[in-house]
Amino acid sequence: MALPIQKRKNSFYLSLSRHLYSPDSIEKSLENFHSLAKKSHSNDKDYTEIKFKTPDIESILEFGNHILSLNR
Amino acid sequence: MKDIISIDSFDKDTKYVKIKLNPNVYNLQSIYAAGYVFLDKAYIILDQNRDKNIEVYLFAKDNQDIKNLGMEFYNELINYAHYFSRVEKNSAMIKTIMQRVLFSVNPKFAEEAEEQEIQELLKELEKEEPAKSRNKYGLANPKKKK
Repeated sequence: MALPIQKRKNSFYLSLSRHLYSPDSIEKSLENFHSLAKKSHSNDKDYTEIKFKTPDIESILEFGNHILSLNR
Repeated sequence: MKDIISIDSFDKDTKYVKIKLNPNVYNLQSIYAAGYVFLDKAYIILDQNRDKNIEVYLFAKDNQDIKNLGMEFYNELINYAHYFSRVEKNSAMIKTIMQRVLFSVNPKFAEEAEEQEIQELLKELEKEEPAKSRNKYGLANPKKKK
């Protein structure tokens, strides 16, 4: 399995396993980062895919840390 | 060692360390706890591969050595895995100690707990008594004459 952050069509996507990240913490983080990220359609039912409007890798990683901090 | 920890790069400036963990050895609770400790010094992304192993991706926030970061994460994992296993094993003892502490602060708690226990025992006895005193037809057994 590759890094869960991928670049497709000039946008960055983060795939989050539903087994590891609760939907509740993902929703709360999306509210917090609403100007940078939004939920994207995913064909894989085990993953939630987040699309980012920024190419800044640090903002994407900050989003990952935010979810983890809520997940605990 | 090569299989459980590997270093790669996202782009020319961003390196990361990937740690592969067996969930039968390190439970999710320990992984979250260790990750929480690392939030200040690293960016953390969790993933699960096809073998159901957990993959932890660590990106250093400052110019910290990325391999050391991975090793430190392992140490933190051991720390929390040990902590949670101890808590689980000693949970009954911790509960007893906490109860004693509470009872010593306010003896009324102990009296109330005792009273509640007596009432529960009485209720159980009341439930058992009618069942014992009935015969197979569901009728009350006559009292034996002395």
